[in-house]
Amino acid sequence: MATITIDEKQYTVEEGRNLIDAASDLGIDIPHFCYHPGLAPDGNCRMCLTEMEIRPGQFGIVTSCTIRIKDGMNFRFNSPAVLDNRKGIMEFLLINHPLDCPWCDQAGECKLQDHSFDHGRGHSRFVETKRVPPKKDLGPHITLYTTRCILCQRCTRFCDEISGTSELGVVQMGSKSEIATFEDVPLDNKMSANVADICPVGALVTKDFLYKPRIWHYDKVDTVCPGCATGCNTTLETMHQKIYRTRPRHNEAVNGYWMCDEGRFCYHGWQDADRLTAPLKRVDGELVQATWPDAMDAAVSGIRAVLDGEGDSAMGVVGSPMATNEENFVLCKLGAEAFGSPRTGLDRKLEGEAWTSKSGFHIDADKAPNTRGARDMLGAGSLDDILRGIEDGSIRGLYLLGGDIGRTLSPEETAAFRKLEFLVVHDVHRSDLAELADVVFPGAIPFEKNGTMTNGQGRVQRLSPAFPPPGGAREDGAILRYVGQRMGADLGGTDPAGVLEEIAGNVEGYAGLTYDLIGDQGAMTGGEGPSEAAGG
Amino acid sequence: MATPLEFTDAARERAAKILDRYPEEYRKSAVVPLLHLAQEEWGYVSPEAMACVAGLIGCSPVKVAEIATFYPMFNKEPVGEHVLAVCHTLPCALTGCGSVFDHLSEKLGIGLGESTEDGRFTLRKSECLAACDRGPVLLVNRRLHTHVSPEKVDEILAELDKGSR
Ligand code: SF4
Ligand code: SF4
Ligand code: FES
Ligand code: FES
Repeated sequence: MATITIDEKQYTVEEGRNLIDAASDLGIDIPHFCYHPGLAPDGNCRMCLTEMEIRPGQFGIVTSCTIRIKDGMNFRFNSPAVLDNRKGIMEFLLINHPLDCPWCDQAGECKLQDHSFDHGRGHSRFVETKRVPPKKDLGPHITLYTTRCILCQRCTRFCDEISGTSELGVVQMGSKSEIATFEDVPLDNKMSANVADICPVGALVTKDFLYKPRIWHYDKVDTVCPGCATGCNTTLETMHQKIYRTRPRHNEAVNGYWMCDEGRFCYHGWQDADRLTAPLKRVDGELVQATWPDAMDAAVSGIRAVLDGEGDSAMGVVGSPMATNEENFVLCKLGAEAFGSPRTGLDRKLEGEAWTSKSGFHIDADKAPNTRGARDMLGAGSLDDILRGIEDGSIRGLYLLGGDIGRTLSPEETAAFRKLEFLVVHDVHRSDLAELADVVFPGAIPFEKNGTMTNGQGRVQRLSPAFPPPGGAREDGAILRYVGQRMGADLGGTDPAGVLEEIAGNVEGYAGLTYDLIGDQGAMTGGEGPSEAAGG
Repeated sequence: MATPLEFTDAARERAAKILDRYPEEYRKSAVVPLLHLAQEEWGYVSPEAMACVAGLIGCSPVKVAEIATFYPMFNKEPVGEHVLAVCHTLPCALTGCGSVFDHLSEKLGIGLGESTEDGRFTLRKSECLAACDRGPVLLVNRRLHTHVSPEKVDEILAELDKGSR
């Protein structure tokens, strides 16, 4: 720790910390544009200038973003020289800026707007014609509104330091400086859209979010990306049961300040497809819409018929790596308590491409978010065991927590499901397996789920629902409990925090985990929980 | 991407020598001398030439474009055999660079930034060439002419004509 002086008051802050961050820890905002905590300081925008005592009694102007805290440092944040400088920088930055805030995507979350308000002047002394360079299509996801750029170079540094792909540069340096790509080499890498997040103004925008409603109209919810086993922390922005934007939420242990493009835009795949909004049941060979009580009756009598005819072990349950820990846990309970120790299985890994950026940001090969957690909840059972059971006739009925499992099956394996006497599937779309089912329950997509998932590293993280499932669709945990109830088994309360407590008491590695402990940054399984400290 | 041009063997040898002047981790510093070499080879620095230089120093081509587009003396477009640049910064303007430029323009029949049809001359303006006490000044390729007047322009052009016959 170090003791420093700011405007004649003493503070204790972390030694070696960047002055902008140290001040922000103290609740003091040093205006800045080019500095971003995820990038190396560059000192180019000059907005962060403050005064520092460089010799006893003598102050000099320094860039806060390049200062690392040492004991005894003495600063002036509000001296006339500092305030004057800010005013001057703002005036320079606005010389060519179009001030088209009314239709700029950044309006409301723009540093230039904020700092203009705080440090700008009310009128412009610039009477000359502004430069109006045309906007540019930089790549598949990003457009550059060249006029709005303040040349802070966060974007070029992101491509140099983080993605390591170096597509962006500053050309025509001088009064005509412009951010550019080279010839026909577009800004196209696995994490390109992050540049729109870190651009402090409305220069870099994602095509996905262009001309969408103004940012202050959205509801925000913190959750976790369902795109792969990395489990990047995200914030969703939603309105009227629709997601408009996903942005990364800082978590140093998982994703830093970033997320990948595929994960960022994957919400389209979930929300644009036709959703199941009512249960389906098979009548004369056809799947038809049914009311919940009807579908439930059909499910319960079908399951009973299998259990009565074939005995306890004839009914299998298969968990889902797209579902939460709590849902998979309750499924297990349903199996044990309502179906009588059935066989459990789990989706195979949905293998895709792994990728690690220059800075170490990792996209996992496992394209399901909760393979690890589902496995922890379900134990060792594998899908192959279940398939063998179907083949040899020892499994006659099956309960699937998700139809997504079909994505990892061969056509022959899918066909094998026809041998089943009775099949219940939770699904969000009419997947291949839903088509084979006798009863389909309309469940929730990951963005509607409340619960926890365990990422590839073993970090348990919280998902919060952006909105309830549409129409007659329900949270999968609630459906499971309803089935349990009808089968005469009490599967406990519906509160995921309560289920997590039960998990903590039953599943190895989860001891001590609570919603509070997990918080918004997650907590590791097996060891870092307080249970270890308590000798658990 | 712009397909990188290939240096001739002789130029490649010179490029290797240039690169040798810089420690491995500072190879990027060779970008300016390599761009000069490229300009010597091909007359101007095309995107393909920038890609060639980027390949030699092992960086992304946009980083070479940053440098190449900063220096006006790197030609980004094909130029004539002789590049004539009239300084138009204030001291030269006060001593009459305007009439020098106009005279050149009229004689060659081309405007600012243009080249003669026969590909012999390109006409440009330049910023201060650091010879303000001897203005107006005219840069002809790499040679600086001072105290230039319309008459002197005629002499210079005649000289260049002779030289190339
Ligand atoms: S486009 Fe945005 S991030 Fe890039 S230099 Fe301009 S203002 Fe900065
Ligand atoms: S790396 Fe994985 S978790 Fe992170 S944003 Fe991409 S798909 Fe989502
Ligand atoms: S934030 Fe310090 S100079 Fe830009
Ligand atoms: S102004 Fe022409 S050489 Fe300086």
